[in-house]
Amino acid sequence: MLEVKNLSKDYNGTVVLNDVSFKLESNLICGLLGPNGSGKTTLIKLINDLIQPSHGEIHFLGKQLSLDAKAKIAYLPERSALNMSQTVQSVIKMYEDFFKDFVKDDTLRILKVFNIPLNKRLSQLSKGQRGKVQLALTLGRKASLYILDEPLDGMDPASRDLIMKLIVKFVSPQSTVIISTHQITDIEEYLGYVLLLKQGNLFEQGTTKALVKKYDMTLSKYFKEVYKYDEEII
Amino acid sequence: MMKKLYKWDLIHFFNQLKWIVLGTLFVTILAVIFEALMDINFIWAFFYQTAFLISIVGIVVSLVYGFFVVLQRFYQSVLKDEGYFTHTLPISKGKILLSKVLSGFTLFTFSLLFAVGLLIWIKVINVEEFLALRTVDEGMFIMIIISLLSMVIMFYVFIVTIYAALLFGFSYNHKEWLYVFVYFILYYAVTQFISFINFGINYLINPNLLQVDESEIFVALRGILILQLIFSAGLGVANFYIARYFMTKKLNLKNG
Repeated sequence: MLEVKNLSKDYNGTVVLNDVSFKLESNLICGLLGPNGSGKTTLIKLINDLIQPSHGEIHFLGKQLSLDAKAKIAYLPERSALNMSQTVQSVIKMYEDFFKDFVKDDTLRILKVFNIPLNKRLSQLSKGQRGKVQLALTLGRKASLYILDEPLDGMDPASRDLIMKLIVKFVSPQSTVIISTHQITDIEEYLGYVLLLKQGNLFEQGTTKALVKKYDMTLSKYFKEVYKYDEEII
Repeated sequence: MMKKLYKWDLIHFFNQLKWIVLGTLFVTILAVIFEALMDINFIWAFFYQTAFLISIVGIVVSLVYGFFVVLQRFYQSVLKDEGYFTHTLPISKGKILLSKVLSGFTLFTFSLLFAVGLLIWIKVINVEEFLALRTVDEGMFIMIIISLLSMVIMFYVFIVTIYAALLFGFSYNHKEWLYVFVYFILYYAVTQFISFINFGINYLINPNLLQVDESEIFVALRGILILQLIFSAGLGVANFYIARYFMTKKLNLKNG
C-alpha cells in the first residue's frame, strides 16, 4: 500500500527526518509515535506532498506519488485547515464537490454523534468542535489511505474513546490508517503496527504484538521508557 | 478540479464583499434619487451631498477591500492553515496557482467595473466630455487611453507579483516577511532597469525624442507607453512562472 524509501528532510542544513524507510500493508491501523519534535508531522507532510523531501522516495499503491494517488488519500491535519467563515453545512457541500469518494451521510452521522450544529460558522465553534468537524469530513471519504495527524489532541477522554471507535467503524475496508499521536494509552488496543520516531530517526517499527513480546511491556510503558527525560537535572 | 477551486474562491469573495457592494449600491441609488428630487425642493441637496459622499467612500472601500480580500485569500489558502486542504487536493500546484490568479483577476475586474459604473452613474466620470477630448486633441486622448490601460494591467501584474513575493518569502523558514520585502526591492530594481531599456529603445528609434515640439509630446511618448505596457505584461507572466516554481519546489507551509 505505502512504501517509504530512505526519506530525509532538512531545513537549511538542520536534519528533521533522517533516512526513514518502512512499508505498510492494507487493512491496517498504524501508530506513528513519538514525542513533540520527533519528525511525525514532517513525515506526514512529506507523504501528503505538502513539502518536498531532501532525499528518498514515497510509493503509494506501487507507484510514485501522483495526483491520482493524492485522490485516494484522506488527510486530517493537526490544525484547522478549513475556511473559518464557512458554515458546517457549506464545508460539507464543498467536500461533496471536491471529493468523488465522499459519503455525505457518513459525515452527517458522525456530526450527529458529536452534536455539532450544521448551521454554525466554523469560527463560532470551539477548537475541539472544529477538530470533530474535520474528523467527520475525513472519515466521510472512502479513501485507500487515511493519515490522521493528532486526531485526539485537545479532546476530552470520552471523545477520545469515541473517536477511535468512529475511525474503526467509518474508514473504508482494506484501507490503511496512519495515526500520529503521543497519546498511546488511548489507541494502543487499536494499533496493528507501530512506527517509533526519535529526533528524526525511525528507531523501531513492527507489529504491536511483536513489540509487546520483544520488550515484555505495553506500548505506553515502552513509550515512557524510550522517551523519558533526564529527571536527575531537577 | 481547477474550476471547483475557482468556484469556491468566488463564493468566498461573494460572501466577503456582498454587504459592502450592496450597501454602496443602495447609497448610490439614494444619491441619484436625491439628485432628481433637488429640482423639486432644494432641501434635498443636503441629503444628496451626504449620500454622494458616502457613495464615493463606499466605491473606494469596495475597490480597496476587493483587492485586500484577493490577497488575503491567497495567503490563507496557499501559505497558511487552509493550505493543508488546498495542497492535498488532487490537482497540480501550477493549476492551483492558475486558479488563484484567475479568481483574483475576476474579482478585481468585477470591483473595477462596479466602481467605474457607479462613478459614471453619479457623474464623477463624464463619458461624453471624455469622448469629446478626441476631437480636441487626439494625441492626448490616445495617451490617456494607453495610460488607463497600463494602469489596469499594472494592477493585474501587481496581484501576480504579490503572489510571487509571498511564495518566495515564505519558502524560507525564518524572517519570511523580510524576504517578501526583498522580493519587492528586486522587482522594483527590475522595473527601473526595464524602463531604462524602454527609453533606450525609443531613443534609438527616435533620436529627437528629447527635442520634440510641445504639441507633439503625446505622440512622441506613445511608443514609450506602448512598450511599457508590453513589458508590464511580460513581467506579469515572469512573476507567474516564478510563483509556480516556488509553489512547486519550495512550498513551506506555515503553522498557525
